Amino acid sequence: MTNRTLRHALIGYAFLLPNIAGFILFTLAPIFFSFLISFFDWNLFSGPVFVDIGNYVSMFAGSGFWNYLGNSLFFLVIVPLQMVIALSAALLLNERLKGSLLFKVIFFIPVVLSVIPIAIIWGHILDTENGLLNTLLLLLGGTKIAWLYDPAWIKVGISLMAVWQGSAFSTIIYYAALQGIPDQLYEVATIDGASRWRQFRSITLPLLIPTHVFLGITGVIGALQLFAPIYVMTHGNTGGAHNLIVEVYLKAYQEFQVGYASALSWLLFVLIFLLSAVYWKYIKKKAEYA
Amino acid sequence: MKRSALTTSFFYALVLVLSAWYVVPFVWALATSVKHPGMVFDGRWLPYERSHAITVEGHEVEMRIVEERGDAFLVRLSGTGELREVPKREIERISPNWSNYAEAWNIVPFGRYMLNSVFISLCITLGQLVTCSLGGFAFSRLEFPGRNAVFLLYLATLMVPGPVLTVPIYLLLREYHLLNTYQGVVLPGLFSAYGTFLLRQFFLTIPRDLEDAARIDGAGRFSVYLRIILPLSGPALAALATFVFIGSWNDFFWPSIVLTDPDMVTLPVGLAHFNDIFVFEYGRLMAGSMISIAPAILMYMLFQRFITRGVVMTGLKG
Repeated sequence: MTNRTLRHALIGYAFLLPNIAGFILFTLAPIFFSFLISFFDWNLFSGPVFVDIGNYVSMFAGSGFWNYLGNSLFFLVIVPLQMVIALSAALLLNERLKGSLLFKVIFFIPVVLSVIPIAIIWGHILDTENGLLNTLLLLLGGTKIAWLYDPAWIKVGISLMAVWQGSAFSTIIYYAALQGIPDQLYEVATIDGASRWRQFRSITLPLLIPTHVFLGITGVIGALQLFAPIYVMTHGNTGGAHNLIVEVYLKAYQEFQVGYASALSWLLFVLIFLLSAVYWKYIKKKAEYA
Repeated sequence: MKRSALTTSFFYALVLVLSAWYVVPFVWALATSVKHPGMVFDGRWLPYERSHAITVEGHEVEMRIVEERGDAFLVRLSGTGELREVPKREIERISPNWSNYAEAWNIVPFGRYMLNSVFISLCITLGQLVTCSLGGFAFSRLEFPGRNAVFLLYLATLMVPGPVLTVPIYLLLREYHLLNTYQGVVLPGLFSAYGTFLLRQFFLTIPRDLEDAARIDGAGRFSVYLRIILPLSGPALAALATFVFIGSWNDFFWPSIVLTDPDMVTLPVGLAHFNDIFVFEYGRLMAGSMISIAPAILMYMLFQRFITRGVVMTGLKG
């Protein structure tokens, strides 16, 4: 190495030092370490014991895992719902109706709110006896639903709340993307006699494909990592209605089974990766036909 | 483009439905937060208060409600034990019960939680601005061996989700006795591959000419970073700062694992504890939630422009 490249390397890595130290300590090393301990039986009270792929085997053998996996997949229903609501909200804001500044504030505010007070408020809305939702259901002639106690309905209630909060972020992104579509496209289409619906189908939707991809993938990642609302609304008693990430939390920080928890978290990673890849493929195919 | 009146009214109807979807939960929580104990579930939006005495022939007489009869209550007067039907409006009146707020504030050290949250979020935000801008500068403006390989490695780790990292970081902090310390929450947050990536992309758009001129005048690399790149990157730094601040202010998973001392927990963690203790005491719970939401709403009103731009710029992550 010449003197000059050595000097450049020194300068370069000096700038990078605080960054790379954090990267190694809190990202790179943990990734390797986590992969390593996923092959050990380790409950933090006694030393780690090498079990080969034992954690993975017992994971697939137990019925709990498949249940939590199913729940994780159930929460994916949040993604299309929040995208549809967000796209509608963004399109309406883009119409520049009178008072749209106020609507903008209303639609955007949930993005700064912590999920904890939101989950507490929704816990009140979903209260079985006198919650807002059941009151509405009774008015409409329905029957009360035990939103927070019936494992089948807990997931629905939590999804509602997650859609409520998650749609704000997506609205901002869609809104920004809509502003990037040149007005001329719509003008030309109008002259050609295309209806508004036709313009939406043929101009707006296809031009938003990168945004759909982005929101779809981040949405899937977010939905698979849904933690705080489940934890807060059920006080940890989900009756088995929780997902993989809550299971990672319970196994790691309540039972201290760190080996098993690491194996679980790697599986979650594979799941996130696969789903993102599938979605990516799907939307690319769509884009070719559009 | 011109809209027909029909289309416009349809849009208004839709916008109002969506607004209701966002606003009603707040209004409902706000309504509950000023209700009186025992009256939380009376099925009405306004806070009613029931008095425990009525005026009988000019005297205040204590009484007890026996049952509801349409627009009236059947009450039993204390002392004589006489039963009487009294119109509801003589017993019930609308009055917001602000004491829920005072009680929530006194039971839970919200002030302390907020200070903890402000301190932790500020440390993380400032730290990330420093580490990410230095790193972004190195990746965009300096030539050194291994630069691209290291950068690719950074990008690759963006795919790895949080839960994979938490257990080893937890063990690391435990090893160095950093659990239940502010450092334990702040240290892992000081660095972000994502923020580094964001600033690198922004720095790449700044023209080289300025830098070259400064270099000819004898400026060192560090002064180029400090005097040229940073001042020109205001919008990107502000976007990253708002996003990181909101993110760490609202973070729950990590602080709830690291912090156990009630004096050290952040606002979301403290509120979650409060929720566990006061299950079903909805008046106070909602008052507490409203208190904890207030700073965020205030923050939004003050920095609305930055927040929207920050979300869009950093939105690539989500």
